[in-house]
Amino acid sequence: MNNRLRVLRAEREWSQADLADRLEVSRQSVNAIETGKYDPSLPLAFRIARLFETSIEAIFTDEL
Amino acid sequence: MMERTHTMTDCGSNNSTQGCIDARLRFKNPAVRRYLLRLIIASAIYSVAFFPTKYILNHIHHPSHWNHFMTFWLPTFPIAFIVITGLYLREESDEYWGTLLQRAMLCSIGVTLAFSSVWGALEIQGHIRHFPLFWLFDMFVAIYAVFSTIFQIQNRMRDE
Repeated sequence: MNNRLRVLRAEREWSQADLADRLEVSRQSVNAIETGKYDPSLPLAFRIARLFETSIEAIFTDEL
Repeated sequence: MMERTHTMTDCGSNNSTQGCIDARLRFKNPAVRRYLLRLIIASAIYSVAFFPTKYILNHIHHPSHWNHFMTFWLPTFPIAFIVITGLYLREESDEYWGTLLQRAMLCSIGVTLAFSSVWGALEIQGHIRHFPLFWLFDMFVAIYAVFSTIFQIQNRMRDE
């Protein structure tokens, strides 16, 4: 699964640690999601979407 | 909720790397602290009980009721270990770390089962000597520690 997390984060000039703070997860989690090594659960995806005030589909896209 | 009011100087002046800060934050996570505390207590009890039990099993051929209790009590540690891990997974708010732990556990279960199956087959055919199942849990924990370390290193390498 691809995602625009890095772009959205950069637009707000947040570091990975800043985003991790806001999502209440570890910085490694943010890094793993950004690099596509880990796909977040639906509740976490909703939290991310809510934080960036957008929809899940606008952040995460299917590779197909 | 994780505490993150730290600066880049948290790990000292010489080694204030991101990895160092991440490691410190991990230990400030209440779920991790509780998990480690429970594990240390359970391991300490296990270590204290292990040698008397081993002695009873090896040297006392007609154990008393108390000795019987000791030998049956020791295997409760694997159950405690699973319960402690289950509690951690329930309390851990960071799902990524939970997933890493699950992966490490799954890999170590797989290796332990594969080892015991192959050893068992060879033992039945008389190619190798008997392996005491008493050690199987200790072996599982050692393999689990190895996989946990591998995943931690892998995680750090991805970061760099």
